[in-house]
Amino acid sequence: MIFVTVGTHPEQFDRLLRKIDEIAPKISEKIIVQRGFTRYHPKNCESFDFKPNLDSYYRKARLVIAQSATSLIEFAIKYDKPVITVPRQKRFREHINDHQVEFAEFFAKKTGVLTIINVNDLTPNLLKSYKKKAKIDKRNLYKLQNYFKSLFDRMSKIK
Amino acid sequence: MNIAFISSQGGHVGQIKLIFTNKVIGNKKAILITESSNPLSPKEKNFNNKYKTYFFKKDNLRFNPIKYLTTMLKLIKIYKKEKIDTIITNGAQISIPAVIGAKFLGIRTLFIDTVIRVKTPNWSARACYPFSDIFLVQHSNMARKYGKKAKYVGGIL
Repeated sequence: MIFVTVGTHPEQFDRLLRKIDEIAPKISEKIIVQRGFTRYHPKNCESFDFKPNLDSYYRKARLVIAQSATSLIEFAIKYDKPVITVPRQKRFREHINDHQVEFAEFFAKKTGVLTIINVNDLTPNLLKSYKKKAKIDKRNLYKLQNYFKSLFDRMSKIK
Repeated sequence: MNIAFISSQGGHVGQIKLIFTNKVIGNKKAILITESSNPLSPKEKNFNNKYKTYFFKKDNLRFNPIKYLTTMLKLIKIYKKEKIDTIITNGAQISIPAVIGAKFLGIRTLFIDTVIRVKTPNWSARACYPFSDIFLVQHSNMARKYGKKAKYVGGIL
C-alpha cells in the first residue's frame, strides 16, 4: 500500500492529490490518501480527511508520500520505510511561505530521501520502484535531550 | 519543578513529543497545553500517556490582539492553577501569549525554535525572543540570526 499524507495545514494541496489520482489507475498497488483540509477528493483511490492517529497507516504502508513537514522526522525515527517528500509551495497558495521547500531540501540532503518540487516528476514507474529509506542520525537529538536532563536537574536544585 | 509545555498543533507539538520523552522529563511534574481541531482518542488526551493535557481550539491568532489577550488570560489561569514555574514552548502563535503571560507571573520561559526553519528566522520566534530566559535554535547556523541570547545545543535532526 502507498500512503499519501498532507497533514493538518488549512491551505489546499490539490496539486499533489490530483497527480496521485492520475497515477492511481496506472499502478496495481493500493493507494490511501489523507486529504486534510484539501477539498479535492481523489476518484481513483481511497481517501479520508483526518484521523486522530496515522500510525496504523504508516505501519501498513510500503511507501509513504508526505508533505515536507516535521512529521517526516517522527516518521523516519519510528519506521524504517521508504519515503518521498513533496513540499507545499507559496506560489500555488499551499502555504503562507516556502519553509517547506527549504526544509525538504535540507531533509533530503541529511537523510537521502527524494524531494519532489514539480509533481510531474511523480510517475507510476517511480512509485513502483522507489526504495530509499530516510537515514536519521539521532546524535543531535540525544544532545538536545541531555541538555534538558541536566538543565532540569540544575533547576530543581535551585527551587 | 512544575513544567508546562506549550505548543501549536501538528509539527510543533510533534517536536515537543519527540524531545521530551518520559525519560527526559524524569520525576518532574509536567503538563501540556496545545491545540486541536480533530476529535481525540482517549489515548491522546494525556501527553506521553502520563501528563495532563489542556486543549485550546485551533485558532488563527494572527492580527487579532483581542484573541491574543483572551488566550493569555486563559493561560495565566492554567499557570496559577497548576503552580507552573517553568514554561517550554516551540511556537507557533500560541507561544507569544504564553511567554508574555509567564513573564507577568515571574515564570521561567524557555523557547525552542522549530526544526523546520533551516535558513530563515520565523516571526513567532522573533516575537518570543525578548521574553525568553533561554532561547534555543535547532540548527547551528540559526543562532546568529536571532541574537546573542540564542544558542544551539542540539536538535531533532
